[in-house]
Amino acid sequence: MARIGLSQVTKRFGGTEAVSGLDLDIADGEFVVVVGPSGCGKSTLLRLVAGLEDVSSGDVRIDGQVVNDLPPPERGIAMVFQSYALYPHMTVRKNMAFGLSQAKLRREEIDRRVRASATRLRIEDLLDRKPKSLSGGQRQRVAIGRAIVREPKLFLFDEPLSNLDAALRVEMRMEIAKLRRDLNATVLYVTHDQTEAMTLADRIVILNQGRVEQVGEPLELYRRPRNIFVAGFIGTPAINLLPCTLGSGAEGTVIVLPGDRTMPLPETLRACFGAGEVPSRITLGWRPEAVNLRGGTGGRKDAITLGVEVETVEHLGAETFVHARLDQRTIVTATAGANFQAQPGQRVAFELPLNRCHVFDGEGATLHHPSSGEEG
Amino acid sequence: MRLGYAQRRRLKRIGFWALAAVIVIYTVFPFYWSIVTSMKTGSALFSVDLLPPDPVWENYHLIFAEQPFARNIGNSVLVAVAVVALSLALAVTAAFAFGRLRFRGRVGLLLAILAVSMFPQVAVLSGMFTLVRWLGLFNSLFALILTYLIFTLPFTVWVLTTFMRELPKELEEAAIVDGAKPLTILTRIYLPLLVPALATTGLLAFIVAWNEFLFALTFTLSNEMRTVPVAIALMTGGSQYELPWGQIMAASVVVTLPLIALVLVCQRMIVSGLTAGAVKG
Repeated sequence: MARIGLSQVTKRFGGTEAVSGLDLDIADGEFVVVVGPSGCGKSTLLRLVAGLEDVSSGDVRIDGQVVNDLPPPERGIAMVFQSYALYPHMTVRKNMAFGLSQAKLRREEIDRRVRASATRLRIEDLLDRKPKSLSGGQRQRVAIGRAIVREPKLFLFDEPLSNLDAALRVEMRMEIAKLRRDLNATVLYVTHDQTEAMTLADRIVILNQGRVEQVGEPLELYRRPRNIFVAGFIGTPAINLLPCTLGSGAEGTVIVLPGDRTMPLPETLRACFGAGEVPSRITLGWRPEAVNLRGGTGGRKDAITLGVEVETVEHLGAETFVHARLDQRTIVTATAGANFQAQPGQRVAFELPLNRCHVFDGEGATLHHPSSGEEG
Repeated sequence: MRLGYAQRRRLKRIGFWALAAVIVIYTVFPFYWSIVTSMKTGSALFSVDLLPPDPVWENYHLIFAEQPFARNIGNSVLVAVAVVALSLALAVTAAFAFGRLRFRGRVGLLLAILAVSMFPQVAVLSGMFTLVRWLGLFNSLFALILTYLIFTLPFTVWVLTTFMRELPKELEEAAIVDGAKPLTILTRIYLPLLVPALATTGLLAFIVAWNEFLFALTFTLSNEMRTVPVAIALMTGGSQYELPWGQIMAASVVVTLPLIALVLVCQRMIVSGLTAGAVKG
């Protein structure tokens, strides 16, 4: 187990900054998932901690000790690669033992550890096979086995499940969660899959263009995103975002929704701006499950009701996603019950309750989110 | 007359095998002819027979009796083996640098190595002769080993660099995390994966060194230092005006056999798919 500290870590490749001034602290035994779109610098971050890349500036600490100049093997880490990177000419046993033999451990000790790890991962039968005769899931297990035999202070996972098919991915995800409980180790896990992040992490780090957008527990990120990027990144289907403009009309401040629908600014929203100036542009956001479907028009006072045209209906069995067009550019998604039926082209009304509305300012920073009791 | 589908297919197949037969005869016939000739003596040499009328092994006996041909073969083996070992050792380390590291002038250096092999052999001959004399290596096998590297290194470096570059980078990184030093990575991780490439390039280097003539002729003087191609070319018969064709052919057959054996051995190593299973492909 280990504490990790990153302070003002920056990595430049030529002229571009892959990671810029990043601060992050990981507690002993914590499972932290770094997630972000491709090219956000998450793999670079992992490689900086591993020591496969050198920081351009800033400090990487493991257990309080600055490890900037320590080579990877001296950092007490083990890494699982996206491509597994098994040594193809060695048997599973030799693959797992290689690191230990490099560390000049005694033969009996190596044997004991390899066998223990193989049992834990249920790959005892594969020990004398070579990687090419293994399935994807088995290779993944061997790659994890190669990491745990080293009994590292810190596990680094670089998108370990992205090469597996969907069913296997769910299985391995649960296995990693279980393994982590058993080993009680500190884990830094990189993925682009927000489902993996939500299900595995104690805390999630959302990275965008080399910068941290938000760090927090999975549900906190879901309920209280700090900005539009985080709101849009976490959650499937994605949050509905409606860019609006505010102006003054005859009855005071009015809000112009997409599709040029103008209405007086509801008092609930007015309250978000506090005593300060009313911004000219805001974005309103609703999670799909917050959107109610209604047969008729004309709605409640504490909700915005939009007339939309159904585009596609996705029946998932337990629930149904309804994607409907508000105007040329805007699609709104709602979660409906399992039995919901609608034809593409049909006009329906979406009711957006104001008490479940996220409000973002013109720069994308959050002005207001629904209190957690109402969301959820 | 229009031909049916089956007939056209049969015609195509006949055509294919006819072409294959022509190619086989074209490539194998010269070797077959030397075997036949090597078993003839005297005036029988000048008659055209597909099989020697009464085969004799006298020529095979004579080449070892009348000249130090065993010694010549030994020289050739020594030179070729040394050239293969040296060029593979140098090329693997060079390829590791070219294929795995980034440094200034990498491409320029690679091109320079290739450029070395572009000069015609005759062009470098006199300069090389001066160098060999200056190093005191004239009439020594070391002269041949040293100069043959000029031919073998460019292609061994290039081929191995290409192979090295195709090995997944993650393997190296996994080994680094596992605590392996660069030399261990090269010998324990990369070398086993490069076996097919090593076998191919090693074989080619061996053949180059085994068959080289011009340098061997120039840099050696005495019968005892000659390699096989020179020894065969300089074989003399009973008189100045007689070329001992039977013996020349016997000698050619004898020195080709090791090459064939070598190809058969190496062929088993030149299997593809050694890296299968390293990374999901």
